[in-house]
Amino acid sequence: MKVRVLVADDQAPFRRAARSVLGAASGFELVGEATSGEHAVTLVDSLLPDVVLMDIGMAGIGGIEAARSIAGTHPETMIVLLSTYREEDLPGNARTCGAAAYVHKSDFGGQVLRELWVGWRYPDSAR
Amino acid sequence: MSVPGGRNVRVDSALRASLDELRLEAEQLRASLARVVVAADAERRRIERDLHDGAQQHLVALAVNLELARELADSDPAEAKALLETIGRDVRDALEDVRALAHRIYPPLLLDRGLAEALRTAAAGARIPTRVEVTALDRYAPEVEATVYFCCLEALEEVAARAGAGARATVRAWSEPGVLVFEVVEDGVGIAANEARQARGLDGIGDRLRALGGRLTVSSGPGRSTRVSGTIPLAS
Repeated sequence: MKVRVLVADDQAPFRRAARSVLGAASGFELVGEATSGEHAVTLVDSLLPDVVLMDIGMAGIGGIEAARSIAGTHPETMIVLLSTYREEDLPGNARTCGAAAYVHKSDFGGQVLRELWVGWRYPDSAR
Repeated sequence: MSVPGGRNVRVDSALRASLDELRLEAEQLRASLARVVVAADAERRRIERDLHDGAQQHLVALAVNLELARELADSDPAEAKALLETIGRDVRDALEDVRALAHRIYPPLLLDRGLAEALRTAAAGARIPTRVEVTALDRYAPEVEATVYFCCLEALEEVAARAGAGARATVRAWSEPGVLVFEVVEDGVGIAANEARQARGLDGIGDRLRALGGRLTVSSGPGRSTRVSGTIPLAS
């Protein structure tokens, strides 16, 4: 069974890139795309994805608050925060919102996703 | 009949009036300076946002797709080739975003060819049909040319935002002894007095001009054309 992934980003170029990555990553499938934090929260409720790739800087409640909301209602979902900022430039609540990891957008790829998923799904497995 | 000390009273009164005027001017300058600082900060934020939402996003997608193309080069060459098409598009989009941002910061034509050509080019992309009447202008200090250029663009934005259907605008700039003059005239519905006061762009124009010792004049009213004009003293 494939790992079901939702991408939440208001930037079309990254959504397109994520689509390509997920299309080529064996074992993963893209099940939905959200363009705002609120949209992501709604889609997670209906699609129940295994993974949410969440951009931090979206309009409205933004990715961090959306992540906090999803982590509260769907603790089984792995949330990966993404942005183009360096990790040290992230707001403090990025570390406490319930996300499993932060990945710089330019580092995102199939291998990174696979490693994060294995670490989340099987925390006791050797990395 | 002369009043003892009457002349001193008149002098005192004149001095007090001058002092009041100076106080008022100082107050206006302080307010103007504060607005310039706020506007500069807002502009920096806008540039950061434009970079983040524009070129940076295309470059990020480029990085992700390049890595993916590298992975697919052996296992799925056809897919890797298709990705290269996407990569090419992202490169072109990133370049266009950077070019547009650089143009907004400082149009290269203004630097290379001066006010007349830069204004004509900018007017071609204005929100209302705009004629430019600028002839025989010399080259001036970069800050003077930039001020006239950006004031004209801001004034065009203001009048276009309030102009009725079918409105047109004319931009003029000319020099007189010791002063550079420009005006943006719109022949539409005009800006009502209360709207003119609320037009923050006009505040920005006034602030820019004051910074170079210049003046802004706005004449408008419902049903009348709007005229935004400014002067900048030229160093002799």
